[in-house]
Amino acid sequence: MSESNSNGASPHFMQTMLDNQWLMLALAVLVPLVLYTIWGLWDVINIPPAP
Amino acid sequence: MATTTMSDFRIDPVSGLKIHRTANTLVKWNAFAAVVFLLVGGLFGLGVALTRMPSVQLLSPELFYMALTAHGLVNLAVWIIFFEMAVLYFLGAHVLGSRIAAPKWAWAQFWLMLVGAALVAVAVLGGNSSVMMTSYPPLQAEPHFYLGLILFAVGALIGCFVFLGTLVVAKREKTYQGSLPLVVFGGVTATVIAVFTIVSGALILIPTFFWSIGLISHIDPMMYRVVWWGFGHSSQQINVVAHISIWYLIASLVFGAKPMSEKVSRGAFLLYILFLQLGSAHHLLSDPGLTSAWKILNTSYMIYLAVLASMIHGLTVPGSIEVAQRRKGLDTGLFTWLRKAPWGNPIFSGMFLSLVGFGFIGGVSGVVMSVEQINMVIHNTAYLPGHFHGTLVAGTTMAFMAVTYWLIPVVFQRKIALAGVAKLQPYIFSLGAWVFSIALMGAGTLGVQRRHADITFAGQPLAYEYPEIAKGLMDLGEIFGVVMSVGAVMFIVVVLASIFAGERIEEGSAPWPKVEDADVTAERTGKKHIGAWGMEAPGTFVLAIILFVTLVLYYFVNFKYLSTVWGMS
Repeated sequence: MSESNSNGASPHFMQTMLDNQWLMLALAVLVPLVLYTIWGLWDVINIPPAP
Repeated sequence: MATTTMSDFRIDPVSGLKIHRTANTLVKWNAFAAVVFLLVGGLFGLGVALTRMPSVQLLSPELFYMALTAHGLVNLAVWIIFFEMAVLYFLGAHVLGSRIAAPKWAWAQFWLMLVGAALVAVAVLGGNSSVMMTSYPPLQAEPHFYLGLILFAVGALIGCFVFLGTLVVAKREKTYQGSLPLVVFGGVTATVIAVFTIVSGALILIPTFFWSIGLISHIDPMMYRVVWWGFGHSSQQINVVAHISIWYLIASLVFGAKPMSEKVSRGAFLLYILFLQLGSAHHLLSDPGLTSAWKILNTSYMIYLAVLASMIHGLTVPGSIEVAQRRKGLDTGLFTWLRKAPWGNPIFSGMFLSLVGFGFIGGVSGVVMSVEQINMVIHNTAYLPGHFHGTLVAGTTMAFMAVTYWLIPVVFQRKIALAGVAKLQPYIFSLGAWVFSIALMGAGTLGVQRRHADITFAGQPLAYEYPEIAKGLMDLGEIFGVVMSVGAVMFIVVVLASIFAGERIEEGSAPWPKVEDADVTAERTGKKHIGAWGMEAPGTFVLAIILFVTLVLYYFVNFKYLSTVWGMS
């Protein structure tokens, strides 16, 4: 079920990237950490106190 | 570096896979624990269903909230994550023909998760931790409730790294060539999402544990909700990825199908890695402390890229089956390939019912409820359990059940017992799950609250009278909840009967006949052109259009409904 490079050519850049599970791990943690968690907490921290 | 000998492996006659015995034992124990917890959680679920039924109301409110807490945690977390550990070890070791990395750590995963689950169970059954799965402060559970969850999560994290380590071992020892197989890449996707999920859980549950033992005086409920949903919702996204990987696996096993385009399928998994977890924000669309920019970017822009990925998988999996069937000669009409599919084989029927149920019920409702305006109509109503039973029960659980019918001969070396029950089980279970989900979504659209033991609030200062149709929908939904429970019991009976009393498959027995790859068949028969209208999979194209039209219509129906509940004068 995999596409191997039977002709011996080096794999495409994108495939090399997808084959690097540590890079995938970094992306899966960093993207939601920034867009969801840190930004969300920043919103909560910046709620002005009630007068 | 661990040394392995050939006696550490066996060649499985059913699948032809080279199986590492230690990895296999770990798969067995994790899968067995999962099924036992499915039974336990299902029993609590039955109690919840029979209480939410307005005409029955089985449990007292105290018992109802305890049962709801137990049902949510056991079925949403424990059953599914134990099964996912089994799937990850299977994908890493069995599919790649590799030894498992760090088996002692893998056993630590199993025992930590088991002890953690037991601690949570003791806390919940003690009656002082009926805080439901979300355990929002200021509700406070017993300290061992949080400690159990932390141990469970640490165990799961260890399991993730054992899987990633196994990939390193397999690559170093050259047990596979080229890139990882697509189903294993799906396992990588589930794993990396799991790491974010568990880190989020640790970030919030550790301070909450300290709060429960008095070391911290206050947990901010709003901050808790933001971080907790990074854990709570993402944990369900792991399931989505795992069950989609299983769809690909089953399409390959049953039909000899190959993905229509591996590049596109892998690209879709990458979209999941980048954007799927951001769907967590849709739980917070009614929270006042978060800005609209945060809500809209996460739920109405980024999550659509993950939805695109789901639609790609929803197209390519049945598409690959159609192409395989057509190459094997079922190349007439639009749906001959589907009509003549092996509907009596629970591996296929379970997988296809999972695909349809997940797409049409869980998927469509999930996309629509992520719209901030529509979410205001259904937020915290029975729509929510309707939606997530469409994803996690009709989708994930059905797919896990389907693949179990294949795993029992391969992993447990037993033939399936009670084959007639197994044949019927996916239909009973899916019927229950589908009607349950749709009925609860209907009731939720009419405003029925989720999580309450008595939807009428009888005797309360704020009693509210719902329209009779809402009560009827709740009754209907919960009746089919019982049907779903019957389907789950059928599954558990088949699994236990097969494991303990099924005919044994000896190691040296003759290999089972393998399904021929569709392209090999096509080459043998000289069949070059398939399909119609210039498409290789026209039937799947029509099915995809039906799904798309359903989504669009449902979207506009909900906006129309919003305009009626929010009158302007």
